[in-house]
Order: sequence, then C-alpha cells, then structure tokens
Amino acid sequence: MTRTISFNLNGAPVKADAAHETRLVDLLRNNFGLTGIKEGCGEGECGACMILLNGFPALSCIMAAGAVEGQQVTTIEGLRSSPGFDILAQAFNDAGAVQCGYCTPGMIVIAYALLRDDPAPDEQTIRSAMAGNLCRCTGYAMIVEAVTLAAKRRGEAW
Amino acid sequence: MVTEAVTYPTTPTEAAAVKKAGALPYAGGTDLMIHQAENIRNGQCPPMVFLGGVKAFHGITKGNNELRIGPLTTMAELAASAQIPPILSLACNAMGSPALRNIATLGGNICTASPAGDSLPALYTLDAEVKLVSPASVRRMPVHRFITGPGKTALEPDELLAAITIPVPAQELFHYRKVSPRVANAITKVSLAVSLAVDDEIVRDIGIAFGAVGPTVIRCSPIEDVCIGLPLHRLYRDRARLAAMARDSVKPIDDLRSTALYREAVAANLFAEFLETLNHPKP
Repeated sequence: MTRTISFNLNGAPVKADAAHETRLVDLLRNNFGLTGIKEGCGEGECGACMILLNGFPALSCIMAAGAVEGQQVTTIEGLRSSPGFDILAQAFNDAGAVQCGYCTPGMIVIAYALLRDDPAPDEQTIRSAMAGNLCRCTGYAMIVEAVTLAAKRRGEAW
Repeated sequence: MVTEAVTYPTTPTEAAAVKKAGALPYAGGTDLMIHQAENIRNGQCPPMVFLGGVKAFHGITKGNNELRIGPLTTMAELAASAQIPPILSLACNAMGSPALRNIATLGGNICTASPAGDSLPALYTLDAEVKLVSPASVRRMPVHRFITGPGKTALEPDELLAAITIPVPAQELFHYRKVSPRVANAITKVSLAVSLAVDDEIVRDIGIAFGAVGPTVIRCSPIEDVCIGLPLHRLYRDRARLAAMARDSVKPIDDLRSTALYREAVAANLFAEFLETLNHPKP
C-alpha cells in the first residue's frame, strides 16, 4: 500500500509516496534520483549505502522508508556543498583512494561524520570507524591515508 | 486490518494492539529488513508498525533496585553509556559495525533470539529480566526464560518487549571476549561473558555465560556453584578443572561459520583465559 512519508532530506522538507516497507536505499535512489548512494551487499555488511540519519551514519539498505518519517536524512549529495566534502574529495584524489569508486560515497559519508566528531583521529580510530565499509580495490591503506590527510587539512571545515 | 493511523503508535499498549492486528514490529530494522527482503521485492510484506515514536521505549533510567533500559535503545547508545554495567557496553560494542550499531536496538537483539546474539551472554550474567506488554496485560520474566530456542521467544502475538531490567547494584568485575573472523560485521563463533562480585578476594556472586555454542545462550550454573565462596586464587589454581567443566557445559554445532570441535575447544580456552586473569586481580 502506498502512503506519504514526510521527512527532511539534505536540509529540505520532502514528501514521498511509497510503501512503508520500501528499502530506504530504493526510496532515495528511485524517488529522489540520489544515485550517489550505492547498494552493495543489501545486508548492511558493506557500507556502500551509507547515509546520515539525524547526523549519525546509518545503512539505508536495511532501513525501511517508513522509519524516516519525521527524521533528518543526509546523503552524499547533501554534503557536496560543504567545505568538509571538498577537503575529503581532494584528499581521496591526492591519496589515490578511489579506484572503481563504488564504495567511495559511503567512505566519504562515514569519514565526514568521523572528522566532524574527532578533529585528529589516529590510524586505529579511522580504521575502527570505517570497519563497516568494504572496498574490494584499494586495500584500504590509501583510504586511511586520505582520511588522515583530510584531518590535517580540515581547518575550520567542520 | 492495520490502518494508516496506527503505523506510528505513541504508547506501548497501542503498539501491542497494532502488532496483534498482524503488523510486523519495526525497532531498528536491521534484521527485519533482511528477513523480509524477498517479501518486500514481491510486494508481499505485511504492514509494519514503527516503534520509534513510543517514548516509553527509549532511554535508560536508574531506580532503587533496578536499571531500566528501553528496548529501542541502540547498540551505539549502550556502547557509550556509563549508566549500565560495562560488560553490556562491551558486548554491544562488539556487534556489527559503527553504522549498524547506530540503528540496531537492544530489544531487537533480544527478540531476534539468535544463539549468537551479542548482547545476550552479558544480559544472562547480569540476571536481566524482560517486561512484556499486551493491550490487556503486563508480565515479567528472566531473559533466559524469555528466549526459548533459536529465533524463538515466549512473546505472545499480542505482546511487545517493553523494557529490559537489570538488578542493581550489579556485580563489579567483568570479563567479555568475542571470537569472530574479523572485528566488524562478523557473527560470533564463540563468546564468553563473566560478571563477578568479590568480597575480600572471595567470590560472592558470579554469572558465567557462553554465546553461540548452543541453541540458546548457555549459562554455566554448575560452574558458578563451584566458584561461589571460593577465594580468587583457588579459581586460578583450579583453572584446568574449571575449563574442562566449561568444555562439558557447551553444546555447539557444526555450521558454515565454525565446527563444534573448534567451538568446544575455544570455549574452554576462553574460560581458562578468564581464570588466568585472576592470578593478578586488578584492584
């Protein structure tokens, strides 16, 4: 049954007509065209579908659309206009942290939340924070390097 | 028939009434959405009742005799909480990944009733109880009676888990260890939780529970009975015998994650490892 779900998406109030049990990743990609969010495993194991729910990293492939009624959802698209995004994107570029790119939006979203909450994370903190984000290309070293680089360049971005 | 108006209940009894009418209770969704994935694809998913709007299901409060945890408290909130016994924080922090812990709930972990449910061994050692509400009744029972088998609980069709309670003061010393192939997003092969209360180096109370080595969490009452009243150095001295008792008390199976033989050996080793720590008890 299709219902109307109202929530805040990337800073603006929105409404969507969908069944409550629709997976959030499908709602965001299909109803709003936010294709920066990827589906990898579909079981919450890989982090490619990472969003921020009320500011906290969450997995949109194992959330129902109905669960975000009245909540705030931020996707990679919603971060694009922030200074933190530019720093992270440049750092991922400089460190060679992107290969096929499929995991990258999820990596950026969780790194964004990490650097917001922890201005100078050490390597172990970065690895722990990103333990739920899988990358099958780079072997992680360059991703960790990219986040370390972004932390050094963060300035007043967060 | 479940109607639009009650998809978002605000009270426990209202939520229980919607469940009774056939709706799937949605807490964090992290297991439910995977179990229902095929139904969702086929348009066959029953209606969901979203519990997030029930205020009474949130938060941690401390009473005179017990700590009350709302079932919608997330694993991340519990991992970071200074209000709860540290062993429960450690166990909740060992589950899944950071983003998963931000949405997965304690109530969901309990009601899923997986033999490998990461919060469960800690809850068993803390003598946790569950409070169940239906539109017409409230009842309480120990968590070890609530979970009746793999994926099975004593929950009636019109009931919801409304609170988790832990007696206070709880024990003061804790030991937790989870064995899994990697740090994040790995289902437990074997875990051990021990909660201990000590007076002048004598064991006053001890709870010992293993996860993922039986159809439900295995609480080792016979070993607990042996330990109570003994000085810690005796537990250390008798570690080989006690570890052998631990080995005998678990009932693991072969599955895709591990073998019964491995789990049995690791369970004994985990318990021996705990007993080793008693040689130099921390002040």
